[in-house]
Amino acid sequence: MAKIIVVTSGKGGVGKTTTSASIAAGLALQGHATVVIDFDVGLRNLDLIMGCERRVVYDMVNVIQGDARLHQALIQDKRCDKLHILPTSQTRDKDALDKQGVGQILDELQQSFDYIICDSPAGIERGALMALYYADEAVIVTNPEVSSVRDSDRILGILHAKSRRAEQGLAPVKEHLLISRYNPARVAEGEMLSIEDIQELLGIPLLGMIPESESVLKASNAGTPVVFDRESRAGQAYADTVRRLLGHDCPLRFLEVEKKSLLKRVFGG
Amino acid sequence: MMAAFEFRGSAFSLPVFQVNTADVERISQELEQRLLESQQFFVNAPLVVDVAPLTLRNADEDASVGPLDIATLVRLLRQAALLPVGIIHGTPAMEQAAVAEGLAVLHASAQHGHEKKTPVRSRRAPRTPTMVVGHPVRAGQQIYAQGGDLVVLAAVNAGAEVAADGDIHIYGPMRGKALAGAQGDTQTNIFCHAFAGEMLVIAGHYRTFEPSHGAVPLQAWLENEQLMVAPIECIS
Ligand SMILES: Nc1ncnc2c1ncn2[C@@H]1O[C@H](COP(=O)(O)OP(=O)(O)OP(=O)(O)O)[C@@H](O)[C@H]1O
Ligand SMILES: [Mg+2]
Repeated sequence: MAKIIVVTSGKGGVGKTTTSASIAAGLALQGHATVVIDFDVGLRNLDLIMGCERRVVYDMVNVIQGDARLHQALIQDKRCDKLHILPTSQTRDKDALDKQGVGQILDELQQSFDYIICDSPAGIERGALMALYYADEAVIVTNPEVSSVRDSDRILGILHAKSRRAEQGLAPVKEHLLISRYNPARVAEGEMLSIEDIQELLGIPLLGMIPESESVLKASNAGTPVVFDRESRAGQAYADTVRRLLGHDCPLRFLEVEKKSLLKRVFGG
Repeated sequence: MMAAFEFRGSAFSLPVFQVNTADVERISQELEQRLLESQQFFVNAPLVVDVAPLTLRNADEDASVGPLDIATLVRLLRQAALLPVGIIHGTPAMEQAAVAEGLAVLHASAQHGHEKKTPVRSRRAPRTPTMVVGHPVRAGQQIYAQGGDLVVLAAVNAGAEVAADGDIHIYGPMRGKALAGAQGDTQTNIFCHAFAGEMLVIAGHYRTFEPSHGAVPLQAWLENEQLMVAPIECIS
């Protein structure tokens, strides 16, 4: 049985899609058959970040509505054959998703994959509820600022009350905190919340910390999940995060303020 | 619509006035003396007159005094501001006299049987069990303990709301809003082990708090319709 992991946050623009792409790619690179699903119906960002937007023929909504078979909608990644993407529709809205339809798709995907990563839209409405409903685990993406922490808290409450596991009285969804866009210099200045602050406020185990890094924007413009970039801090931090998700011990890195070398300062970047 | 009245079974524990002698004169003197000493503790308290020492014993032990004059005894008690409501262990003649004075006849069998069947605890007024919450209460969540007290063993986060008709105790960090006496009970309290909250409300009287650094043990109560707060200090 595949593990279903939702990547969610409540707040928009905190790095859910970036995280979904890199965690899915990271798991696939470790040899696990992984599919990442875009639940952000109407916006469709995941296939851009994964660099497969030109290959989208059918999407999840077509499958739910019976216009296409699941295997027709699945796209295999060109860099890693263990990685698949189930894109979403840009022309429909989130009402096109329902529990039954999503449940059937997940059931079918369970047969052939080890991990199913669900990229949630922002907010706490239908799209986000559909993305988290069937989850076994949840990665809560949080930026080091008060409003992001508050929204993460809100979505944790919803997971606790409205997920399938909650409704059916099963073991609760396993919660992971992923702090993203962390800037040690600004934390040191007191402009951002520290890892300790966030952990204390949310009270869930820390899965990882992704530093703020220009390489993320570059990677998404290039259509490559940043985890493929072994040089960048963000890429390495995502690789560490995946290792922890797989149960390996792996100390936090990149907590210190990055000192740019003289050469880098001269040439910029 | 509710019925105008109803009959219900119930059990009360009443003080017993045990009569050890048929000599009403002696009873009168001692009663006067005792009431002076005891600062009228039993004033207006319903009493059951127990005459067991006179009737269950050999009847002619105190033959000189003759049988107890129930009517006089009852009047004597009433004169002393006591409220005899029943007689127990009386002879048929005594019972008849007691009924004539407006007392009820109680039966020993009922009394003793009752003692055995009903544990003492069940005589307490019925109460709603305390609601105990063992998980964090998060932004947007509401918890309401209807009819009773609420205990939260985890955090109450900013944007969360906990309410109870009774008292509230929060043992995790308290960062949200708490409402005790939600139905208007002004005698309720809120106790927070680590308070850094947004708002406290007791029976509709509220107080807001500025964001704070660091949490303190805090208690809140109502005094003259004012919500009072103070640090919790343990007396050792
Ligand atoms: N670690 C990072 N460092 C720098 N920029 C980042 C980082 N993570 C994400 N970003 C940038 O933040 C923006 C939002 O990222 P992303 O689309 O992953 O967020 P999202 O939570 O999926 O947003 P939405 O709620 O709209 O779905 C993007 O421009 C992305 O490049
Ligand atoms: Mg997104």
